[in-house]
Amino acid sequence: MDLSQPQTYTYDLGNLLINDPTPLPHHTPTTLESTLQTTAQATAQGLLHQLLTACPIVRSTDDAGALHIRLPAPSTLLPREKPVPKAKEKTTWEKFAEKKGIGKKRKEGNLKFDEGKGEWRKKYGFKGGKGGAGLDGMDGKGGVSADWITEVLDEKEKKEVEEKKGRVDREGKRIRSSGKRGQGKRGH
Amino acid sequence: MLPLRQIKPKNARTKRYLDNKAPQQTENPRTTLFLKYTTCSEILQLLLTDLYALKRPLAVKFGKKNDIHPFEDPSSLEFFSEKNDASLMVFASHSKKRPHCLTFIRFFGFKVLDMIELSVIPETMRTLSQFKNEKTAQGLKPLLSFSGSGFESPTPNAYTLAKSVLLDMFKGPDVAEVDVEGLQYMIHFSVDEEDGDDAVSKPQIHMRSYLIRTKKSVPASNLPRVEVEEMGPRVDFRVGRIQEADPEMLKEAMRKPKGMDPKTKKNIETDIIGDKVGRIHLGKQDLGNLQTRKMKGLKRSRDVVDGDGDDEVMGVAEMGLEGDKRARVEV
Repeated sequence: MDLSQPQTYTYDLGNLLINDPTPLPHHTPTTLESTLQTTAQATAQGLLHQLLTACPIVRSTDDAGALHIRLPAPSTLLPREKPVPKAKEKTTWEKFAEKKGIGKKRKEGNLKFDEGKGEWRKKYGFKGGKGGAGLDGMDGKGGVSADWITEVLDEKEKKEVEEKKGRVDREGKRIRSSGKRGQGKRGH
Repeated sequence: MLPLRQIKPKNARTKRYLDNKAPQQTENPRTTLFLKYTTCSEILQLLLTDLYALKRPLAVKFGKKNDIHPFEDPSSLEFFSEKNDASLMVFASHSKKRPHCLTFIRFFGFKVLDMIELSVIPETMRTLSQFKNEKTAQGLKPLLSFSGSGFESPTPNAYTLAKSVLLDMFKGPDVAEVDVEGLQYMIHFSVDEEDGDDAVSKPQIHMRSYLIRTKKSVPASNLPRVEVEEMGPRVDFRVGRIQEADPEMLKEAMRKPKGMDPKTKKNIETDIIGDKVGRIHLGKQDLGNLQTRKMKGLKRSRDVVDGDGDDEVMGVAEMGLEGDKRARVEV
């Protein structure tokens, strides 16, 4: 058999398997062994070459850096040994909760996604909250500040900040007083 | 036979054992059990030893004789399967009607799935030790090769069943990586062609195992030239009785557990070379704001007022002059 001829092999490299659908060449009992040997040699070479070309070869980390061939998943369909494991049966409570639409209660965590910076940040606690590494747009007041250096404002900026503070205070006062008014003479 | 009592584990070791034996998402490698009938020829015993040697350590071999007829009543085999957690069996029997007979049995959930009877032709049988050369280490994953058109039949028959069973038998554990040094031997199965004149006897299946020797190839390619050397055992089989799988049972056995396929990420693919290729979708580009190449010649001159046709012509002429001057300076 000419080894250089293109063959119609199919491979299942996950099982290190080669299928050679070409009929065995005609043989007599005396030539059987040599025929089989040439066929086997051709398939062995085909399979090894396919393994070496189609699969990534990596140097393993554990055993003294031996060369390993990374195999794909087996593709030949074979029956399982045992049935597919059944899903665990739900408890009465789980069934009821599913029916009612009440999920497991989970505490909302300390992390919040900061859209501007594209990262998760703490809402409170160390390196969290308004101060320091806090969220964007926070002025660094309150919270445990990681960034303890504060910028010194010039006159103009100071004035602006104070004006804003006055506005906010007045607004707060207004809201509070209007709230009181709305409650009427409750408690009397 | 009574069904086995459900064992409730009393200690952690028993629990581990039972958990390992229970159905699993990704299955353990199959264990093969070798056993023999009350009468078993010497050839078969030798062969059983050799097959056991090839299959170790995923194999169990029974020494005692068993009065079992797999095709008539497999309940004892099912019992052995459950007891030993073995889902493959090779049963050797020798009788006047069916001489030198090996029955390969595959189980599903400790029940017989399918069986195939292969009778060994005693004249051509050679054992592992009859080939005087070195053997491979125990427990290596062999290369497998199936040659001949008989194995590729589109309709299930004895030969496709034989292929399936033999593949299951010899493929070893499923692994993600193999050592290059571990590719040492190949088991080669081949099936004869069906001859027109020899229609009475069915084609034989030849099992050969070869050591693989890689030689340096021609300098042009870095792929090795492969040579093979027979290691044994050498067996020729004649196909006997078969029992195909019950369709219901086979369907259950071929079922794939959910969640085994890796989740495909949208728009990320791997091409044939193995490079990761991603596709991203951009919005429609606004060509109105496109910044084309800036050129001196298109710049509006300072002293020209926009909107007047004559002035524009003037401007172009002037700019031409300006450009000339600049060019001269640069030189």
